[in-house]
Amino acid sequence: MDMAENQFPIKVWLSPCRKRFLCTWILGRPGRLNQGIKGCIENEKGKQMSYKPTRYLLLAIVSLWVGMAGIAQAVTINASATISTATLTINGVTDLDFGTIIVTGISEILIDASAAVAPVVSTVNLGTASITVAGTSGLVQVTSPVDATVDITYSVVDGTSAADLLDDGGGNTMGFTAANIRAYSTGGGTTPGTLALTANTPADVHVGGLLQIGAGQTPGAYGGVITVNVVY
Amino acid sequence: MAGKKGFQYILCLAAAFVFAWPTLVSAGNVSSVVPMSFGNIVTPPSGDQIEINASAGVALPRVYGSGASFINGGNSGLIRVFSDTPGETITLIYPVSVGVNGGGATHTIGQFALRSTASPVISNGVGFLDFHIGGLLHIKSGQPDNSYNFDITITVQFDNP
Repeated sequence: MDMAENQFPIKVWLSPCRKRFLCTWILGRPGRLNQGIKGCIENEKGKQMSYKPTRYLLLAIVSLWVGMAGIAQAVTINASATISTATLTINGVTDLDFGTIIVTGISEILIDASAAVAPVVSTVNLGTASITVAGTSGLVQVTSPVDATVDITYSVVDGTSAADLLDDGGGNTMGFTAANIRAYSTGGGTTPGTLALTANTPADVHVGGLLQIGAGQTPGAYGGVITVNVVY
Repeated sequence: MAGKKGFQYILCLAAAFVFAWPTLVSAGNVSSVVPMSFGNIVTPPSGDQIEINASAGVALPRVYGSGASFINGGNSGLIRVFSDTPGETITLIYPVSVGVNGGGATHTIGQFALRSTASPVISNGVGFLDFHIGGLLHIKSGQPDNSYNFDITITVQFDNP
């Protein structure tokens, strides 16, 4: 190899022992490995040393160092969250109405709205009642800011806050239970009832029930308050 | 002489390529990313904490704080790393937290390492390694309802055996 053609100067400023190591490996003179520190200093006088290593050997060493080093790669991952503090809204649209009923004894009047997409008129479930004015199921609409399946529960009280009753305001009551409201309303058959909601789209909750008319029921207009609870 | 010199230049380049090859190959080791989603969250005005705990694999978001929030949808994130060197040590380094401010207190996501696939991982051979990414979302009060996006920069460290 023609060393004159393949050498170029580099400058190093290192401690004597490191100079010895580098000059040995860069210059490719194994004989210097056996030299002591003193010999190295004596052979490389001055702080600024000039070496003339071969290009290929130097590049190979640098490449080896780069190749052996650990590397790091940055990656960006996106995270998202749609956050809403708005919650469910529920609006009463139509009252539950059993219509006008003529009874002669114990009777049950049913409005089955458990699978209804439209109001269902009342029917005689038990006894000999006749319905002279058709009733209608109740309707409330529920809206959620996000897609969700919600639980629906029902309760009912009369004018004196007595549960599971309707009254006529004169002390006469009639049986009308929350359990039967649930059974014959949207989501009926499960406890609690469930309803799938699409974000920002009102969903109908049809409310039915079973009116239990006792023997010798005092004629009158009976009513109460049904509460529909919807929770995520 | 010129021809000999040229040959030696080529020899230099070849040597550099051979020795630097592991580094050059490793530069594209992160092969795919699935974004992390905390889904649609209905939260009380006071705020809440939602976590995705993906330390054991794919996970869904769930309420970690007050328990009053409702969550619909969401998924853990995924980083797929290609290891070309058996015995290579792969370490994921996460930021302490990242935040997004929509006008009130800053929503933040943190605790990535606790809720993601544990690292470092030593590859058994040449192939892909999946790292599931989770975290803890702090929803602060006073922020407007909105969709928030967080950019999480993760450093993937490769150490050859």
